Amino acid sequence: MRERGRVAKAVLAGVLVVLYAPLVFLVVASVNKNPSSTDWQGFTTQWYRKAFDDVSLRRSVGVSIRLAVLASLGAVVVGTVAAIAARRSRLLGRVNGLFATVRVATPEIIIATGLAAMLPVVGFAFGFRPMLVAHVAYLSAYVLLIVGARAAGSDKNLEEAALDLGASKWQVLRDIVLPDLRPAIISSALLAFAFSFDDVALSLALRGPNDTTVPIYIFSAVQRSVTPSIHAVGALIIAVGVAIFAVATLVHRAIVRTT
Amino acid sequence: MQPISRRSLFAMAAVATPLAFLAACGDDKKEGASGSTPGDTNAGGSTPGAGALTGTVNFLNFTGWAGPTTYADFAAAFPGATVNEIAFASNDDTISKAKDRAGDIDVVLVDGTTFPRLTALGVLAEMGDVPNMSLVADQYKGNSWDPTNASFAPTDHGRTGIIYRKDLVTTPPTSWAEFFEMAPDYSGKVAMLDYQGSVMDNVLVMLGKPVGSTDEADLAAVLDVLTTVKPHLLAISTEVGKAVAAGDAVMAMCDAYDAQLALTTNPDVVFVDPSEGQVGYLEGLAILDGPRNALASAFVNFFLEQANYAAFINNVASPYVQPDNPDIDAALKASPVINPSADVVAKLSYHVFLGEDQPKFDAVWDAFKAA
Amino acid sequence: MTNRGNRPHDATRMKLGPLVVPDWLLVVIVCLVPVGYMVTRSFGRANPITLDIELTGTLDPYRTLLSGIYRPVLVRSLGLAAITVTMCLLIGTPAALALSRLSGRSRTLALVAVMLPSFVSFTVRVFAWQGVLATGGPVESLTGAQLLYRPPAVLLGMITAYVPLFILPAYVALARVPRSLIEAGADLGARHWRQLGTIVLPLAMPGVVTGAVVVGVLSLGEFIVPTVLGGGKVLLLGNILAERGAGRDQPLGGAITVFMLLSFAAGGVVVAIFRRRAARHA
Repeated sequence: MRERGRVAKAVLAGVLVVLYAPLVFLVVASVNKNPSSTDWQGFTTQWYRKAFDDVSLRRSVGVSIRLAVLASLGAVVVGTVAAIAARRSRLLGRVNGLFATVRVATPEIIIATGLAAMLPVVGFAFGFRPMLVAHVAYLSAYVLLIVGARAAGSDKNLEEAALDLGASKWQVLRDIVLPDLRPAIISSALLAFAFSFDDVALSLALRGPNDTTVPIYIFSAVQRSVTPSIHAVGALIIAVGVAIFAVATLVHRAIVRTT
Repeated sequence: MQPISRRSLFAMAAVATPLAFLAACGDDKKEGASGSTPGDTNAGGSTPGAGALTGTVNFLNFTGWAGPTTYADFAAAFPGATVNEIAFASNDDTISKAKDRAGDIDVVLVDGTTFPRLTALGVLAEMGDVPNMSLVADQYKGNSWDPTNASFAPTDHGRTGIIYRKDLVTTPPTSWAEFFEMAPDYSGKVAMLDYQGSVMDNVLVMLGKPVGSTDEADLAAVLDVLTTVKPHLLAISTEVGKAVAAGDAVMAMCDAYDAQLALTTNPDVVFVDPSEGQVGYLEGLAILDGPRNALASAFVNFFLEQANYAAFINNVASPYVQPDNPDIDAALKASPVINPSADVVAKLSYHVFLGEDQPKFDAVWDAFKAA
Repeated sequence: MTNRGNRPHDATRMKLGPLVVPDWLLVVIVCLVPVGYMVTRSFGRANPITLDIELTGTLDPYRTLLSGIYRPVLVRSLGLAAITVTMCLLIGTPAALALSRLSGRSRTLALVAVMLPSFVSFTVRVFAWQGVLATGGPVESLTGAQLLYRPPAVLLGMITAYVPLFILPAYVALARVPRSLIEAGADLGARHWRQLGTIVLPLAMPGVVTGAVVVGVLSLGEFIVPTVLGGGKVLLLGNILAERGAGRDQPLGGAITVFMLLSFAAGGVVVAIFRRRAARHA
């Protein structure tokens, strides 16, 4: 029982090393006096100061947050509602599933490019609104999958009983269905937020001149000869990712405890 | 189990929806300012006649490619007029904007590759009175795409050359041939400009073929040179000057203004005008036909005026077209990068649009990138 | 009380069908129509002067993709995707297996460790490899290999980017195999590897295959990794779409879109086959 699985465990450890090593390297570089060299040249926080002073970076953080908040709200509403509608109908569920799979399992870039090509033809301007609409349309797929999975497993008997006792559709929705789905709704909201924040393809294709998001900022910065503060920016983003994950875990635990 | 009260549900929806729209709408003003609407201050009834010198000049230009106060000075000199700069995104974008919105854009920054396409589209207007055209040296006028300068007012030029780090290279390259020969010796440390015209036309010069040739054999030779050098390239990018200044690359094909920037960052960077000759670009202003032709011409004339032009060149540090302008910084005049000698200029030619054959030319660059 | 079994299907009581409309509308208008638009553009060419796309019914874009200038790009994309999937399977399956065998706190910790990088921005994760692979970096100092801005760097970036995406569904599939079955196999004397091969893997196959297919299809459209780690020298299908597919290169972009849709369909077929086989064996 002890001997077997050693290979698999080693591989798992190796995977973790390979996943984390570059991130660690980045964080270490961010406090190096010369982040581009591999020699340690002394500890400094100047790159973090430069990152905080960077106006365009601050602006892109604002854009990203606004976009992610609105997009995840919209995606959660649209996706949850569609998941609820399909609970009892196999046909609706199948179509939902197909639509969701098409969005999730095809490269985002074909949607992004198609939208960018069509936008001038239909007369819309590039900018925040097309980005938002595209994000909502894309991310609702994830909400659908997560909430839909939970909705499929829900207990119909409670609803049946309530309806028998004279409750209206809306009461059942509000008092039984939605609370039951709450953990899934909240986790899908957090996921949608994270994905929206991190999105490059759709944002890059549809943005206007003033709509740089954080990933786009980093994406264009790293294509040029690297400015030293980009490592600090990267390290901060890592921290943000960890924070979102921590929040998600805590929220998840809190929800699970109350249900 | 905590039921969500109906009140809180509706409250949430009520708050979220207008919040969403408000937030999303809040950006419309910014979208407008970035040029999706013309800022014609004469809207509301009477269109100004072609002779009125008020209104807004919509100027499609590289961001900041002007003097620091040019636009403000123009507004001061022509009361009732303002300048709205629309950010240049790419040549293709310029063409599509000119096509769809001629009338919304008054002045465009063009070069030999975009001007002929605008001519073919029929969106250009002849410039009115531009007396300051006489300040532009003759060698920059009378180009193939507008021999009489009826619609094209040259403003700046550039050329591609070689930059290298004199401290990191054993024998300095003095010609294109040497550049390509030496590439394998510095494999992984050679950078190439990500601009097909600059690269391909100069390879044609090196091979002794006509610039802009679309002859199959010539193009095959160019592709051969490029694919041979590709494995040795550090990167194909627009930031070659920075790469060489930082030492990531030891030599690169680089544009003059980018080289100038690198020189000032790192004194070990040297810019060379290759001996076989060079191809570059000649940029200038053109007017799109619309309701403000007279105002647009006045702006072009203003731009070329001695003091304003000098402010522009001193600001962007680009090679210039008014060699006798006394207000241009002495430092720029003394730099062989910004102020090339007569023999360099004699061996200089400019990129042009190749008409229906352009796709053949583009195909070579695409094949190089795809390889 | 009436017999509940005779009640009409409760779908009619909670008739909420129309609620799918917002999502469906968005999907059709924002996702399907633009993709369809690109497909139509693939049968055209760009006018050299006006850059308008003229739909002439030509198959040239497909020709340049399959046998012309862009064939190397197609081959490279397919090759990188194939290697990425293979490596994910080779590395990710054992890792997922190890995960599924852990229990309690160590399993939770390990799951967190595997999932956490996915919450870090993709672009930053890829960029982090720039520092590791650069000249003067640890990889070069240890092995002397200059990997950055070459296909190996892109490959490395892709594998590490997609491995977590594979491990999670693979782990879920492997974890579902009932412990009792594994233990029964052990009781009956089956050796470890035989157990794996005849019990665990076949049962987990559909999930593992799904993970592999998803990685494969998505990696065909990858453009961030080759841009950040390829230095402009490694051109993949995703780059063409991202950089030029919306402008004058719409015909080529359309052909690439069609190719990706076909891969998605092919992937769906593969997943369906494995699901059916697993259902038959169950």
